[in-house]
Amino acid sequence: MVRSQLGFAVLAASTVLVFAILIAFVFLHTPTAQMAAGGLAQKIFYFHVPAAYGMYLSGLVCCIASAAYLLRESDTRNALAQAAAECAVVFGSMVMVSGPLWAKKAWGVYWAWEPRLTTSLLSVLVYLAVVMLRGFVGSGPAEKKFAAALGVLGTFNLPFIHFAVSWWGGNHPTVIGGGGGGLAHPAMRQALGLGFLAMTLLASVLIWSRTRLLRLSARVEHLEHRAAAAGVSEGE
Amino acid sequence: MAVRGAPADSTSAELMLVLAYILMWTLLLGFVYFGFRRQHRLAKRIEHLEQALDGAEEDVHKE
Repeated sequence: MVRSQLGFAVLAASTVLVFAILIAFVFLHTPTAQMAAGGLAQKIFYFHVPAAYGMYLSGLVCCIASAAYLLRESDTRNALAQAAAECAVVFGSMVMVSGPLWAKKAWGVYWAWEPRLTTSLLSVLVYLAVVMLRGFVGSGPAEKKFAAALGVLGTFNLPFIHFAVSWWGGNHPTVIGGGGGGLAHPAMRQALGLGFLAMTLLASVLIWSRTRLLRLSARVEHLEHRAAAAGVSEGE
Repeated sequence: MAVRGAPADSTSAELMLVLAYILMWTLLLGFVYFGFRRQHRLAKRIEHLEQALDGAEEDVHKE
């Protein structure tokens, strides 16, 4: 128990440290790029793309935990799937708020119904549906199974987001591979790598803490049911 | 395909950058804050359970 708490503290401290380095690196070392598309606004990129990666990562964890829950039900697997879905919504929302602000400067519009943006929005809505289903419909076994199935199905959309640009084109640039997103300077690539590391750590911290919280919540719920069944009255 | 840009757009790049960072951090910190609030509510439920158990134990001892 103590080792787990120490591990979490180290992970959380590493996350804060890497984020501090990332912010300093982005604003002090990376050159201003894409002058025709806003110049400074391009620096949104170093958080926007890693946040999308954070959504992929959380979505993948949600898919694996949901599939594991469907195979064999357990509170831990359910809590992990729920925590990962919540994190996918947070990371997806970060992408959805930062992207349009950069697009306004780069493309002249906040939003375009093009393949990358549309599939990304769809994924955020799917994970939001998983969270809403668990939060508002109930916590019975049927609801949990349905949410787990949705968590698995929602992940099938992630490859479509990634390959949307190369398959269907659109305004959005290819960031990794292909034509590249214009990362000419080595510092830009280093900043992106640092961003991926920061978001990996952040996703781990958020999923870990949220899973612990949800597991604890499930245990308290079981105890309350047992106390009620034993005739122990609460809130006196 | 790289971003081509929109020369006619006069929106301030600095404003867009600051807004994007503020909104991203607000979302993240909001999520952490609501997590803390949930943890606080959970601690209260545990406290109620403990009180109820203490009361039940006292009843058993009296009997």
